[in-house]
Amino acid sequence: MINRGILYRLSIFIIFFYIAVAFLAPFIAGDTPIICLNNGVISLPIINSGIRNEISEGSKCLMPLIPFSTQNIDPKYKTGISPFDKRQSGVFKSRHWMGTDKLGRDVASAMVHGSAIALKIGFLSVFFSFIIGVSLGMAAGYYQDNSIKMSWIQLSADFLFFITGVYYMWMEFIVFNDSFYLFLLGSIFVMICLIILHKLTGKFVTLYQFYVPIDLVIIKIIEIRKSFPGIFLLLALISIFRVPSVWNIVIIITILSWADFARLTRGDTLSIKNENYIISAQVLGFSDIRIMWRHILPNILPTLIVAVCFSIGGAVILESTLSFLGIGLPVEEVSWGKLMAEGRNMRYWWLVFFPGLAIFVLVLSLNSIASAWQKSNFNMFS
Amino acid sequence: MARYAIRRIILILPTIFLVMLIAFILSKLVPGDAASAMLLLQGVNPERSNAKNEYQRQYGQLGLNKPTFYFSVIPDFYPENINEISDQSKRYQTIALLKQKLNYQNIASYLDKRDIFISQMFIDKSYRETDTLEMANKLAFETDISRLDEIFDGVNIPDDAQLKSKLADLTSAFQVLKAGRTNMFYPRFIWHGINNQFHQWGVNMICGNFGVSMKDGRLIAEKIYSAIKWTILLVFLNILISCLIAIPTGMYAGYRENSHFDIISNYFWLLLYSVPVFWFASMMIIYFTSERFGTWMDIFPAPGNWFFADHLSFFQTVANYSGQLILPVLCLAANDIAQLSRVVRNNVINQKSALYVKFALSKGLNSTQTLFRHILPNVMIPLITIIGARIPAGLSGALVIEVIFNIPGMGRLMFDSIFSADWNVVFGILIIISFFTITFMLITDLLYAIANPRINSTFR
Repeated sequence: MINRGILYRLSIFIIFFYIAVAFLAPFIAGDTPIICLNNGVISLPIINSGIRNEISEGSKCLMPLIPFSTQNIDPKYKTGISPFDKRQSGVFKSRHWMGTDKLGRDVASAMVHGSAIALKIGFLSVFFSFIIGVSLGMAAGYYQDNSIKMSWIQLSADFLFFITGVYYMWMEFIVFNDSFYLFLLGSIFVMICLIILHKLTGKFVTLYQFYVPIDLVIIKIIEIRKSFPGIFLLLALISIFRVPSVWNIVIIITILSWADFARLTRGDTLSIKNENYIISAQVLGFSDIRIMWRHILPNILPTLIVAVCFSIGGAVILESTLSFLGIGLPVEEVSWGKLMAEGRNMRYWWLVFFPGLAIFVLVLSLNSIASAWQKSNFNMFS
Repeated sequence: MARYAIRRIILILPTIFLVMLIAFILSKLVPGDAASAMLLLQGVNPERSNAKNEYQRQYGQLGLNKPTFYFSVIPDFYPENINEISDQSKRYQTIALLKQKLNYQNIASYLDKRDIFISQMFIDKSYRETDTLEMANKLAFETDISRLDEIFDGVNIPDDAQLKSKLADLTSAFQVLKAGRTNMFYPRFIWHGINNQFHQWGVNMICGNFGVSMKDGRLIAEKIYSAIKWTILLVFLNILISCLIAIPTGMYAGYRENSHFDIISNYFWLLLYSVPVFWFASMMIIYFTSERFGTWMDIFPAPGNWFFADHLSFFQTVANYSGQLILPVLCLAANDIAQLSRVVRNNVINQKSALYVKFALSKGLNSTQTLFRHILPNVMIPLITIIGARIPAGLSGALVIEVIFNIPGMGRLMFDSIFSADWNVVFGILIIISFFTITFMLITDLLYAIANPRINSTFR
């Protein structure tokens, strides 16, 4: 069972620490004062950005812990200083604790703000791939190739309806209107209509029936995804997005990593599908959705948590690899990978060491949580 | 066994088709125009007006005028094959007008009349500095139907009778175009046969005819051939080293479960597994390839440029650069050693409690003999799958390492090609790498089936 040793607790603490830093980034590092006392009036410039210009010289302000924003250029250190170099002035608070980059921007501030990007991409992409992968994998494992019957007539009716519906939505909203959200909404509408149509026709048409090979189809999709090695597909996908943004990377990492979840979930579902409690639930007449949600999912969750922890670590590493290679993220975003890329080019060790250490500690604590949850027969390749 | 193999091979054909289809769709979605890129390669600026003929020739030569896929489902007011319009600006304008649900026949006649009108306005010098010339200037680039309407409304009827009739002609064509706007349409299914871009592209890919690079005009097959050797070398060395280290340590850790060695190695592999490869590699380069931090730290040669002498064979070149290969292989192997060793350990622990081990021990074999004769072969069987999966995954890992250490392999080629928008090379590499992966998945499955006879023909 779970080994709740000191390492496990420490890892949980570290993860929460990272999350706190990511959420509180503007309060920890930035050039906007947190709270100001101006002639007896207390103001919060960090929340109300309009106040910022009204702060006079005489007011007392509480600055964030690191009083530099990521874009502030310190004119004194324009070539970059290492953390151990001698400083020109001895102001303790505005000492660059992790040095500056080649333009004189503070590294510690960039580290704090980079954690937000890394965690955002890591958690969001794993969240989406978890939803896609687990639902597909569970459908494949639970229904297999021999539980859902369908008539050829029904299939062709569904197919025609689906194709024409999605085609009209595509033409109307993507080609003629350039609106992706309307297309999504329209497609969801088409899907709902399709389900209703399917239910209705299922009652009348019982001729020429066959078993729907759900498992075979989903396994084929997983196999096709697995035929492209990860980072090559990623590079090809990134080149089709014209405007770089954080969401593109989330989408792409989701496309890359849902297959692992699907494969793992399918295997686990298969192994517990014939247990007595599932059969009893089926005999009691519970719906398939309820059985999957209430009976199968809680029982395969421990393995999924292991996979989730490994995947978050993998996604963080993938994101920083991408920005290290100089692709994907927009120019104005700070990320750990970008700092490292600059440090590698300039041979500044502090620019490589600190972001890498941050990634390493994050991934290590995620992995040790995973390995605490891991049974001995689980392997990391899933 | 033979039935299983045949079934497996047949099931791979649709996968290959779909993989190629996805790669083709991706290659169609990338920004840029292939014919313009070829013009730039020949030193012709595609923006120049006299490059038009050359563009059309190149467009036809690349087969871009063919339909995109075997069939198309298009609205009924669309042309059968929009790619047939080889003039670039005319094609874009037609597409822009089609997007406003205008009939293609009307668009074609309007665009023809407009072009004739504009060329006459520009050739005849007597129309200089008149309102109609200004209008012609506006018309040349305007595709929005409401703004076109404003232009036609606001024009002053000229006095010149010839010009008047021309303008009336154009205006009537525009009125027809505007009146032909549809709101509802029917989808039309058109079968194009095998004379299409996807078929041509796919046949070329399968025959190894990848075309020429848009950057330097070299054959892509040549480029990939000179790059793939390095990648295969890296991946092979990686697998070799990680097996040599991981299998013995994993076996020993599993054999002495919960010993000090097991616990320490467990934590150590976890640590090593969490290290980002590119960080490890960058730190190694910064600290151990120069004398900046002390003379004794200059252990490895710095990653520099690679020079290929023509008279040397591949292996001689490798031997020359063996010093430079140590660090990349070490970085590449670090993660794999951690993964493999943990898998081996867990497998050994699982096998230890099996009945055949108890039988072997009670037969009188000592534990070392049991380990090597009975447990080891059973541990190796699942390793086939895992190593088979590691080889394609190693290609991805090799990309970053190749970029960091400047090794002229596939990953570096792909990376450079993406930055120089050399899409032919990018998708050639994508196809080759995925064929490689598919082949490896097939070989792994077949080897597994040979090693483990319990697999029958129903196994997928």
